[in-house]
Amino acid sequence: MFFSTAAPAQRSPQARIFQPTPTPTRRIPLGAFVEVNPRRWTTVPPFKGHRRDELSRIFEESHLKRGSEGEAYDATYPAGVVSDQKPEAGQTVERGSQVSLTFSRGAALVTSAPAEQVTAIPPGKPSPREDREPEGVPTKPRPKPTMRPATPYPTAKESPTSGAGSGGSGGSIPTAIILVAAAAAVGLLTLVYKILKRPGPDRPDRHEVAANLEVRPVRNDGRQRLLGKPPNATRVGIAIHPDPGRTVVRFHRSGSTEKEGER
Amino acid sequence: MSQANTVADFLPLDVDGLPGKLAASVKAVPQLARLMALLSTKLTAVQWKAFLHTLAGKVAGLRDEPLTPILAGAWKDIRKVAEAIEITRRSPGRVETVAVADHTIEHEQKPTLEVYLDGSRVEEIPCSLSLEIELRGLLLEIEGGTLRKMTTGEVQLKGTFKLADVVLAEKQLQPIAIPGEIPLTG
Repeated sequence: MFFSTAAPAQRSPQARIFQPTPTPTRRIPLGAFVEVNPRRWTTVPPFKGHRRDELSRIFEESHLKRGSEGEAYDATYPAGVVSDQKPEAGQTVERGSQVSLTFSRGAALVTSAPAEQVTAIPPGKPSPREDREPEGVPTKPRPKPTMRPATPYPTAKESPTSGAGSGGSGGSIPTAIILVAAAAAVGLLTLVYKILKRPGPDRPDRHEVAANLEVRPVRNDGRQRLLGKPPNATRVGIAIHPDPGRTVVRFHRSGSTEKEGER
Repeated sequence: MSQANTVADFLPLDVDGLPGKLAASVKAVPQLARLMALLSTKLTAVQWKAFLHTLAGKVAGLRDEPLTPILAGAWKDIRKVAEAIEITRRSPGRVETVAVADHTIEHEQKPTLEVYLDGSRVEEIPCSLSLEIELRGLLLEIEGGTLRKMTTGEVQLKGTFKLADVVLAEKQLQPIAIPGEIPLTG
């Protein structure tokens, strides 16, 4: 069964069918629901390479909102220009979605002498030489890491929570119990949520509520139209259009007939 | 012949078998063929069958035409009868008896069945009813400007009932049994 997108567009000029299921030109049973999403969608524009003062216009035109912003060194884009964005350009998202931007701080500055001294390091990106000591510079010797004896569970004396009746159990046991209990609670809540959200006889399916559009049967001209209601009834009527008729009287005279009157 | 006598009494039709006859006549009647093509997209096979039953009932109902108005309407145009009607109208209480010569009344009706789909007329099915009534020894009693009673010696009737070109009921010319005296209201 074919269906057109003209009807919902007429209903709401702002709405359009987004990724209908089943796909167009596919035949479906009479009265079946077509899953459509008439909400407003937009395509994420490219923000990369734009300056800060240009962003408000782009956000306004694309019906998107500014999300979180950050800065990072980037040799590709000059400082003050968007160097990264999420979601990426070209993706289709719901209108009003937030776009996170990262502004370039320019290329990372590196001094020439001494060669190993790094004057600026991009945040979040540790330099590969960070853990190396510069040559010729007196440094304070680092303390060697000391190994603690392997004690998987603290003793009764070490555990601050262990009481007289704890029976000598370790101090991490309450933490583990708390974690297990939390995981069980989350699982239980998830299960309850799924049960409540499950469509039932009194809870119509989400798609039916979101987009209550149905398909009419095939017309004689082969066209179909998306309309509000299915053809649940066809009315066929028969009426008699009477005719008063025409009457002729013929008299029998000597074997022949003679017309006397006509109505 | 009383008011209760209708064409259906003289043109018998198998009403129960009429839906099947209509279904078999779909190819012969272009109106029915068009109707079936149109309704096949709207009705299921069972519904189409039920529709044919309804249609058959309407078709059979076309024969429920009373005979006496047809006859009275024909006789009123006969000159001697018209004069008697005029005389009795002017003279209340006077009764005129007119002996009408042997004659044949030919009557033809062409009613149509209009089929509506969701309020719109989609098809018109023509029907036709033709009668030939031969009367001999007819006496008409006229009083107060109206035909009161008729007395006939012999009546023969021939009739055909058609849906488009398909003959649904036919009766060859043969005598029909009617009462000796029939009151007329017209």
